[in-house]
Amino acid sequence: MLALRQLWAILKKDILLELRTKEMIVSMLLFVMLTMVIFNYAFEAEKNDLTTFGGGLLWVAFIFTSFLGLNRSFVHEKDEGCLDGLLLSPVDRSIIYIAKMLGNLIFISVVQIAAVPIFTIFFIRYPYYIYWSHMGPFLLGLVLASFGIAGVGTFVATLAANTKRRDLLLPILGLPLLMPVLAPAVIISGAMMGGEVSARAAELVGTSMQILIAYDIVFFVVIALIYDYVLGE
Amino acid sequence: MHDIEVENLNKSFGRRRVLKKVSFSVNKGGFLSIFGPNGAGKTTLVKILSTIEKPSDGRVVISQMVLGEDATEIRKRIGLISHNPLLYLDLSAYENLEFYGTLYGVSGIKERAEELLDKVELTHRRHDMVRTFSKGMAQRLAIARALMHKPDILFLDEPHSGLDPHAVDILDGLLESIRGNHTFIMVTHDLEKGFSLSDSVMIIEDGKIILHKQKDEIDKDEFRETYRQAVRGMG
Amino acid sequence: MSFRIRLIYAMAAISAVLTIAGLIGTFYITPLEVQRIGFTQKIFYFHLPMAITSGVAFGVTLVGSIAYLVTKNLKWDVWAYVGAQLGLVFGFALMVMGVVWQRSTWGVWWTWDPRLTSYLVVILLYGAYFVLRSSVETQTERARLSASIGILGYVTVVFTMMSTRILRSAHPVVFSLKDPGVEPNMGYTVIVALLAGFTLFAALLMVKTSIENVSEDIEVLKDEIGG
Repeated sequence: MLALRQLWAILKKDILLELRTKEMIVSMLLFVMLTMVIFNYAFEAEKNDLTTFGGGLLWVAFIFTSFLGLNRSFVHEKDEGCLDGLLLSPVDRSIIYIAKMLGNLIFISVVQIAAVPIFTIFFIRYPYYIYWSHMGPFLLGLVLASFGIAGVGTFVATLAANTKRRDLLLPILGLPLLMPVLAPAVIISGAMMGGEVSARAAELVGTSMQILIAYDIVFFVVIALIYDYVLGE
Repeated sequence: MHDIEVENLNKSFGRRRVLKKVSFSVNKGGFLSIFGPNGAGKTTLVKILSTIEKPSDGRVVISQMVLGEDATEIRKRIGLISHNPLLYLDLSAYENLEFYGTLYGVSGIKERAEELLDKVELTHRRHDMVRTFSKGMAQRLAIARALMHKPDILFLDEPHSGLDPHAVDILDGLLESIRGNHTFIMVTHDLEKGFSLSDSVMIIEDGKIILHKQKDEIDKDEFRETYRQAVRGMG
Repeated sequence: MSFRIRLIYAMAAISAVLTIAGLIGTFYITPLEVQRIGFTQKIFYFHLPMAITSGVAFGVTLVGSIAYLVTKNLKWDVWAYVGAQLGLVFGFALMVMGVVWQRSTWGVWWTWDPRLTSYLVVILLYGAYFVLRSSVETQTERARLSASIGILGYVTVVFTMMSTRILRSAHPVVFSLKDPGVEPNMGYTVIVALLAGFTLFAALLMVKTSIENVSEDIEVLKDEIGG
């Protein structure tokens, strides 16, 4: 029970700090919008129908936006020296990890929820945006992939915060670790945007979901085991 | 009875050996002041005792509990006041105390927080963000934070550095008021302070204890000379 | 000469002999595959063993990383580090081989073949591993942080290989020992080449770990003189 209260305390603290400073979410929202404008220039969206590449474009925007936010996730703990305060307290290291990770997952999800409607209006062929019947699998794919991104991202952000090149290391270490998430995430989002889903595509979506679930579980367990070593000796 | 016992403690970061066979003990209710030049290993020692870092080898016993893999019980008994206040700048004074109180599983957080805010004379600022506090006020709040869970053992890592005289008075007054039933280890550069508060003193140089004596066994001038040499030796 | 050095020489010599034997097997003994790919199929007698060897090298990094976290003995960190270095060398050679083969078979320098793609990710990942190592100055901290990436990296390698394969099942099977058409000689040649790769890897691993340990000793001596 104490563990749950500790978890909630850290999570609540992170949300409160974010609500007060708004540094993560606002920057992420601006960044994701800018990425979409870049898509327009890069792919001449006024001439070309980008529906086929919808899944891919969505995740290009989301993955980089997530990393922008993750970079900030340890700033309060590290710059104000509060990490020692956490380490000093009788909180299990894995609780610290789970709380920080859930916080990041929430921030990433908020930005995604805000960005998806805009994205579909910008790039997905009218009137196929996302069928209501497709919303379930679409959101599930989003959550499963974001869970992986937040999980691995929080871990790498902690690790990078302990080095002298933290802004640099987060993307170059985090992105390759997240490659297994990207392919299935693109498949799921792509299939669920822009109209009917063929039987073959539906099957691929199913497989992709399984891969994402397997990835989330395996990485979550491995990280929970080794997080202690990344926080301190 | 010993409250803190350290036996043959070694700490190395690979090639660099920071603590070399450090052994000492502090009685329950005792107050040990540790002096030494910068880089002598004082802060590392405090970090190990407060369970933030792990020793490379050696034995540390705190409150009859051996420091090992699971330090949770030990963590509940110790508090740390360092020169870094360990506070969130965008939380209010009360929210900071509430946060740490929850982490320690303190019961009656609200009363305890109010009581401590009163002691450190911050009640009138309890809903202001720490960002708006002066260094002295933040340090006073840091003292309240460290005392939230009523620790038996307090580690003080240069607690007086950067404090205005008023904050120093409050800190010393607080330390005096809880003196009897707590065990203290303080790292400091301030000879006068360290001497007046403590009942035993220690000098660490290059990771080794070069002097450790009860205060009443020692000649102050001789001690001052040893300390001066230690500091000069490092340069 | 110490036993260790003699062992290194012996391994290197065995590897040389096996490599020559493997080459003879590849070019003179095994039959020419005519139905699907032709002469360039022969590259796979060495391509496959190299892939396995680099996988083993990253496996050494994984084992070294876990062993370091468990024992806190810096010796294991050296193993992890050297494993990653050799894995990268073998992996890079493997990719160059694959690219050359594709050019001669399909007429293009690069295809996003799942295995090639996976290897590219692996090389980028272990490249970042070295950036991480150079970003941490304290030895024990460097060992600790890079060990966690040594472990997660291997999990990622396995996942990348698996998921790209499952999701894009349309890649050609270029060489399979289970094929009914495979002659025993073909299998033997692969095994000889595999042993050549392993012994070369073992020799290099011993040489590199020795170098790392000696340079560590030198640093210690330097510290003693300096301090």
